[in-house]
Amino acid sequence: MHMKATSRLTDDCRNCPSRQSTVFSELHGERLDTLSDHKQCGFYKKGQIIFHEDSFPSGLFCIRTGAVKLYKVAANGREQIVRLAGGGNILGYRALIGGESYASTAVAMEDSTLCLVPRDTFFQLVTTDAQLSARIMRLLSSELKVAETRIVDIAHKSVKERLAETLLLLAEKFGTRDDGQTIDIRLTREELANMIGTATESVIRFLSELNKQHILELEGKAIKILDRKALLRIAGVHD
Amino acid sequence: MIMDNYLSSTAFRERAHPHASNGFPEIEGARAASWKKNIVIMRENGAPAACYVLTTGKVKLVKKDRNGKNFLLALLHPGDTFGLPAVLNGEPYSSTAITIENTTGFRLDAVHFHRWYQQHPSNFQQVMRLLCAELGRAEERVNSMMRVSASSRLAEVLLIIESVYGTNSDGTLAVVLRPKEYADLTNVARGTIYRLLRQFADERLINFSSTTIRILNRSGLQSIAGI
Repeated sequence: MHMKATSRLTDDCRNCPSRQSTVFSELHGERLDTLSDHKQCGFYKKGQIIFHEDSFPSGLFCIRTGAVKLYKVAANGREQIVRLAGGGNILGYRALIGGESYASTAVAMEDSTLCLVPRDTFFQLVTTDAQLSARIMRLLSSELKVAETRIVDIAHKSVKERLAETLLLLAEKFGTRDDGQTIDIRLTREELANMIGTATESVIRFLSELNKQHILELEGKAIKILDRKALLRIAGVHD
Repeated sequence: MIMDNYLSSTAFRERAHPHASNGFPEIEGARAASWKKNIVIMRENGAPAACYVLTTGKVKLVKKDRNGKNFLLALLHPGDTFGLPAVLNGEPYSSTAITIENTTGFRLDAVHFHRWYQQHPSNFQQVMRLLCAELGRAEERVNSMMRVSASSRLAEVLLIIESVYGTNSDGTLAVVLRPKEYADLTNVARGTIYRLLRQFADERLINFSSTTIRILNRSGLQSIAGI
């Protein structure tokens, strides 16, 4: 059993704060009841492993609240961050659908609540609901595009450009705090480096450079984006 | 065994039943096709007329970077599908597929795909599996690109080419890419590729000429690649 829940929650999917942003948002009536009745919710403490790379999925994880890091460990022991996921995101779908083991390890980056939709329930819903399967296929297609773009970006964008782009994406995905500027997720410099595929020292150097240019403001792990337009320009993307 | 583990962990892994598992050729309307070397099968930003599966031969997927240059996304081998997301979503192709040598496969026109796809909901699951395979291929490539050392990436690429495409009777790699293609695959400058190949040759890991590469010490390369 992959789920290492510290407590059981029995919340109805209808009350899920992230429901509107999940692939299940269009489920109604009996189908939503099926999902709600069969899923199991669990609470994961910060740092707790949700599943391990190379283990096999027993279902689909859906994040109710919190943040999750998916990573692989390279032969040299270095962590490569594959993806960060937040409320409403699903995890392990590629392994589940492809009948393969997980390609990465998932760990809670903060106290999180996740629901596990059992394999049979998931496939029963997918094979009987064209709208749901279409949503999942759109998700897979869009992830594929993201991966292809990322391949070209890694090859051609400088570390500074990729760092700027990553910060903008983090702000978009996890939002900002009440000040509207501070990215609402705390990552170590090493984690940022592992997302971008560079050395930690380079991240430290470029962050400090952007700080001096008043494009960012740094306070411990908190990163505030002061000049979004300048960051967009550096990232080479258009608003 | 190490190689088995290696293959199962790369984007270029052999699938257990490449032709049977994707079921593509059995779909009504799928047509056998053959292409000569250097033929563009589908073009980036082109209208999604059809999707494809390879049965023999070799195809590369490339995508234009911001300077308009083609960047190698993947080397495809028998059993691999391509063009599926574009056909499924009715969007332009996101990459270009070019044959590296004479190649055969099946072509499924968009209209036949949609007819088959809508016939039965269980077909959704099959399409999802195919999409997952394409996504897995791309994500493995991302991971490979993220590796820091240029020599480890080049060593990995040489091993991949050997495992996917095999060797000639004299032990040389069956496919020799141009230095530019090695550079594109590894995200390393062309000059560095020459230097690393010379370095590998000095260490008796490979020998190479302008047209051939032979792996002399596989475990040495595996160790550099971190496998």
